[in-house]
Amino acid sequence: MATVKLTNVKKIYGKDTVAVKDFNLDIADKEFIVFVGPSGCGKSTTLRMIAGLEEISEGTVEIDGVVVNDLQPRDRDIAMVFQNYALYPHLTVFENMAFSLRLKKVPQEEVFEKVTQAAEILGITEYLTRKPRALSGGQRQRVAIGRAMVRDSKVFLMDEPLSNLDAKLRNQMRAEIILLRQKIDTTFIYVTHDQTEAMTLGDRIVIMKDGIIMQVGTPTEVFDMPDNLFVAEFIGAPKMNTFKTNLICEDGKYYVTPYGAKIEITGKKAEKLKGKGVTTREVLLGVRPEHFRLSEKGNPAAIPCKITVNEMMGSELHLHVVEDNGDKLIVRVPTVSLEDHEREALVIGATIYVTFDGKVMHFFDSETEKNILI
Amino acid sequence: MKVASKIFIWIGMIVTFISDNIVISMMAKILEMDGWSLLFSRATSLMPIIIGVIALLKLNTACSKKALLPTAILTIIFCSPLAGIFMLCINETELKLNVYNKSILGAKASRRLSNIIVYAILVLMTVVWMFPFFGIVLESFRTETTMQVSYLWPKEFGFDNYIRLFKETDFLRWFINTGIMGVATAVLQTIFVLAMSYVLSRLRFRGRKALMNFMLILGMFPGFLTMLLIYKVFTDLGLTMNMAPLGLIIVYCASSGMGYYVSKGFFDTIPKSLDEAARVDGATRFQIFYKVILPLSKPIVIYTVLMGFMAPWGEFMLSSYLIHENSQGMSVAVGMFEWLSKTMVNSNYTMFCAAGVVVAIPVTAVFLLLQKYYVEGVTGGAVKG
Repeated sequence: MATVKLTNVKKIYGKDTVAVKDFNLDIADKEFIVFVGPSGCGKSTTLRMIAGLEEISEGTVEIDGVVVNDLQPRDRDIAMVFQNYALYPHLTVFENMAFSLRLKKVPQEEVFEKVTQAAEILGITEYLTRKPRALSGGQRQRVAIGRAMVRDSKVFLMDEPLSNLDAKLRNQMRAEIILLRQKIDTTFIYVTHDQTEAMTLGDRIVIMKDGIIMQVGTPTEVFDMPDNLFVAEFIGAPKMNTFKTNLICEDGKYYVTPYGAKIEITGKKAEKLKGKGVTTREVLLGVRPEHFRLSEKGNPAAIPCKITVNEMMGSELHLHVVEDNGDKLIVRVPTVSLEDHEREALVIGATIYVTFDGKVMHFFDSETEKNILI
Repeated sequence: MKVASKIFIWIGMIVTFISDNIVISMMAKILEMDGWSLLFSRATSLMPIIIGVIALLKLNTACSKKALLPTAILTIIFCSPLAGIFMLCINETELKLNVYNKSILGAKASRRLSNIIVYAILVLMTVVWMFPFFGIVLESFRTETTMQVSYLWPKEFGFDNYIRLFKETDFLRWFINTGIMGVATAVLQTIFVLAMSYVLSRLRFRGRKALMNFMLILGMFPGFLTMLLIYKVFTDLGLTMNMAPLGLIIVYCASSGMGYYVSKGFFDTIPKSLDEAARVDGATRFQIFYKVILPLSKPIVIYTVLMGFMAPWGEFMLSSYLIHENSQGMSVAVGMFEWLSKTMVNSNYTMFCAAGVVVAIPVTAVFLLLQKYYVEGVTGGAVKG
């Protein structure tokens, strides 16, 4: 249980390969922080710098107010779960989990108690005498988590712990990590490239790109109010649709005119635009696929487009459509709201009309890609 | 001298047989060779024996001291390149044979035919290899004469040679000397080599590449180039004569770290995330090495131990130089060589063979003892494959 503070942390490989640029973050006690970003964005490197597995080129990392830059991993009181499990293959599951306690020369009874307790929470009691090679991927990852759990360390680091599991197991383990988090109430730092994991697990999410923090915020914040185009497109699946359009200010009312349609902006977004004093200008408009809805011909707010791909996901349809100009959009339609004949009409090549609400759009500057409402 | 040459060649063949087979079996285990590839590597160790046999036949007609030198040179010149060419040829043939067989026999039958050929050749080779060893064991139990004879099977069997060996000579002393050297070399050399390999595999430091290249080049010079210098230094330090075994241990171990290639290669295959996991778990570098890496490197540890243990038993040049003629400090190789002088060989030949058999015991024993630790797939389950 501890706070972690990163100040101006930089990682430079060799002479000028910068992996992490000027990373600043305050992590509160018992907070679950998720670093998310595409591969090569420096998220793992940052985690490894906190763990002490990578040297910190510049800046400081503090754990509980103590600068740990020059401390060995073993002196930082951290626990870590690796992407590839990294279990000791020559030791049984029990000894794998007890390894750190044995190094600390913890008495045998205490070791036994802690390991069995952790094994029980993770549901691996029956495998304690097995060797890692006799376990499945999911079981191995549990052992790896158990090995980190028994240490009762200040900070719990996880480096893409689920990315080696198959999709079903990943969902199951994700839920278990949420439960686990309630049981071992400590500071978590979790690295993933999967935005779903980030959204479901994190108290706060740190979205990174090319070694720079793009946004830090709660899942709701980053979803509803992305700082920039990158965050907007990265969070949410399928990714947000963006298109260049004009933002028109008429008589104190705001409109956007995508592809000839005219849609009035309402709700908080309109208030914010007014508050910012935004005038008529060109913007990059962002609309999430789920915020589209099917409309009819003749509606002034409707955009006509052609279906190119129809992905049936079960509870919803992902329609890849192409607008007259050739712009590609993705529209997400819940199947439950469709009548049978409506559904049958959504075939490849069919023309449909889509529209969206005035309160759900995002506006980005087309040059800086920054959210113009912030 | 004819007899001496013969014995020299016999011994050479036996040593080749034992050491090559041990090394090859180990390499085969480590590299997971089987079938043809195993056969090829075995074939390489056949070369010295073939040349030895040719030399033996030659010696019967034209025997002189001169024959030894060409034999040695022949062995050195022909062994390595010939073996390589031989392997390449067989490899080619195997490929062609496989393709050819598959087209007319189908995969299964082709594999079976291939196996039959391989095993037939392996059996034949085993016989060829076993023959000198078998000969020397028979020789050691011969009691009717101590000289060399023209027939193989002894007329009278007995333990006379062995009894004489331990009662009338300093053989036991030499044996113990060599044993001590073997154990000490095995232990120290293993520590040095493995420590060196681990450092080169895991730590990154300035000049690491340069150091590795430097040692690679240095290792290409034959060790006996330094013999005179070593002799000079060791005489001053008092590490010759009676103290020669200690001196020899130092020599054997001193530069052993340069033989890091094999074990470094092995360490490189152990995932680095294991080191990292152990570091986070609170292990020091030494604890990681000792508790995580070593248990996973059993095959390579045993390989290193065996190489270290075997070295003093066959090493002659440097030891004879340092030991002089001091019987108390002799190793088996140096001591036994004395028996081969022109005047002594006729009364010592069978005893020499007995000594040869005794010398083979510890090496074989250590090998058999350690063999069971070759656990394959020991790193399974560490990380996602």
